Amino acid sequence: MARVYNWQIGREMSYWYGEARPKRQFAAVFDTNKCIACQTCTLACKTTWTSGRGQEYMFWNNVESKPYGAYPIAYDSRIMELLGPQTWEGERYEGRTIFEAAPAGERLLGYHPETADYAHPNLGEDEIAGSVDGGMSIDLLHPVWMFYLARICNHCTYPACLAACPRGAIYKRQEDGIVLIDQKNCRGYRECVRACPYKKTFFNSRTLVSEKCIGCFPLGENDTQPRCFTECIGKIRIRGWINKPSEAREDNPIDYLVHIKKVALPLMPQLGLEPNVYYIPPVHVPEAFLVQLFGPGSRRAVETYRRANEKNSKLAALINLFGCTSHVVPRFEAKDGYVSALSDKGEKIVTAPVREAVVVRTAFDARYGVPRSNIT
Amino acid sequence: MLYRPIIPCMTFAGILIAALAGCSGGAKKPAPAAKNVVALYVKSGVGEPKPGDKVWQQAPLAAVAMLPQDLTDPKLMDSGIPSIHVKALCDDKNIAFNIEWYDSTPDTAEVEGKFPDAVAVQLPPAPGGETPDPTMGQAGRPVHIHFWKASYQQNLDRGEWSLRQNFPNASVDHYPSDAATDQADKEKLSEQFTTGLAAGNPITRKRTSSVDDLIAEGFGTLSFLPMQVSKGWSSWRNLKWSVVVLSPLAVADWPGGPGLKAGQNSFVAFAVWDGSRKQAGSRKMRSVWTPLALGASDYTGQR
Repeated sequence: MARVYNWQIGREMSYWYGEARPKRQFAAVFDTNKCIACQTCTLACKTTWTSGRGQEYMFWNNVESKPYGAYPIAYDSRIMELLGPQTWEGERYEGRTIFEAAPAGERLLGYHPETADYAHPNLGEDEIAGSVDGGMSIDLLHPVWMFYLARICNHCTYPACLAACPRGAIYKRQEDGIVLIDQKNCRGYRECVRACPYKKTFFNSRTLVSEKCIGCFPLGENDTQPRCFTECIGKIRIRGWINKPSEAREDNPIDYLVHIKKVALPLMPQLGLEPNVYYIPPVHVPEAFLVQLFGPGSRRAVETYRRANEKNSKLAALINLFGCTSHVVPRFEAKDGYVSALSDKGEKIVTAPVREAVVVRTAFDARYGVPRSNIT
Repeated sequence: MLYRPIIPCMTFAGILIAALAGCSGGAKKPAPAAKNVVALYVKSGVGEPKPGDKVWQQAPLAAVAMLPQDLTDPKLMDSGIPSIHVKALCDDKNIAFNIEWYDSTPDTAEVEGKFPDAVAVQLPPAPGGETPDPTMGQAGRPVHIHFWKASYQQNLDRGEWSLRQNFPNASVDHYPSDAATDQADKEKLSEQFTTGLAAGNPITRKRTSSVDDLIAEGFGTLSFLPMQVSKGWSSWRNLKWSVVVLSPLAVADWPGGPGLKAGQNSFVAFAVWDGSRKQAGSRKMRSVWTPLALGASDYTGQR
């Protein structure tokens, strides 16, 4: 194995191939506090990409209710259980990644889900940790809470699927860092399915080859965000590009959220894949659970997000830009109460007010002679 | 998983029959399984021999020991099929192998959590003692591989793919391609969601045989030969697979060498996968090169 640097765990680690970052890296931020689990993203993806024979159980995009929901069943707790208890020392991960924990004869630590694990994509929907009324009859691990976690392929910097494929049929595009399975050369061994800890590669029983989220790259090539982003009713998502921490730019929305304000965090960074979808963690969830899912920066991220309005108008403005354009957002600016998405050349793509003006109308519409049900 | 110890049983059976032959003075003693594969030459032509056909009865039996693939990651770290029994027939154009092994579960489904049983026959593309690396050849020195998979056989037997073949109670509201009115449009629309097919991956094509003809120059290099001509048949009875793989001795369009001819000596190697242990790709049992004699004796009996 080669030695590569993974900034999300603050150290070098072992990986099957040497470090080869793409020219630009696809990246996204999802605000979990806004997600209502309407599954519009799931259906947008399903109807666009996975409506064919052999794809019946496939959801390249899914939304699961945490803590109990997971698609496929228990993918997150299974891999963490296999990995065993590990430790962070501050921002540095001292435990083993799935590459470093590879058993003898394996390229990494993984497992293959059973068929039935995919049969209930929304198992645990809306289930809370604990009970609301009558007090707690027993002490549970978590107090009463739940939240929604929307997931796509993370188009990782160090993809486990790519490392595991014995045929080299998985590749990471130089132009955008999107990870793809070569549909012509895959032979359906499913090493990628076994390897991906997020279980975002799938086997197609009709074609006998594996498939995965393609980050809607045909849209991306036209500077358009993926389907699951543009259809999001809650406006929880923004797609752009991420730089290394040392090259972070103030005017890059992903860099600003991830590197500068550190309000958006990777999913299970301890596994070592350097995933490129980042989450603003839910503000109401116990820190212990958040650390397990998003790493040690969770408390700071929640505090920064909670106080964005009071202490950081630029951050608050940027959060308002989510879902305001179907264009990929490489740059942004916030000034005079407005936030704008900018192209690479600095041209304005869209401008939105940081605070919508409030207009109060009379309860009766004299022009049409009807009462109004919505007056603000 | 139950694996019956084949060789000890055969030895015991051999001793028993020998003892009975001594008493009666008449019964013929079956030959013990050899370590080499001798292909019986069939003057009237090999035809398309199925498992259990009489033609196999006079073919010499070879027992081939299998080893876990432990040379390249991912390796097979737990146990697999320990041995296989092989018989072979040939004529001037074709060679047929009948490969048998014990497997208590016939794994024919190939869906997300299920892997199919499979077996492969590996041949050097030219005769002689200078064989390529037995582990799928080496750069510049390819091997030809004829790969049978139980799911291929199932697909061939059942015809057009349907979700209900493996999930009888499943229901699907609608496939977008079904909205098309004529068959050509349906297939065109269907291809949009069948990317393996649209990309031209031969593995996704409409199956006409349960055997893939492949070429490899080392681990991870397996690809399809330009002509797909081999055939296969199988049966699973009494906890045992019996698979027949029928291949041409030589095909002009196959790269790597001139192929083989009846009467020549060469080598053959095998690999076998146990689907219920989620074995696929490099997670397999394999053999070393086993001597292969083509056309050792004539067969004149019934096929």
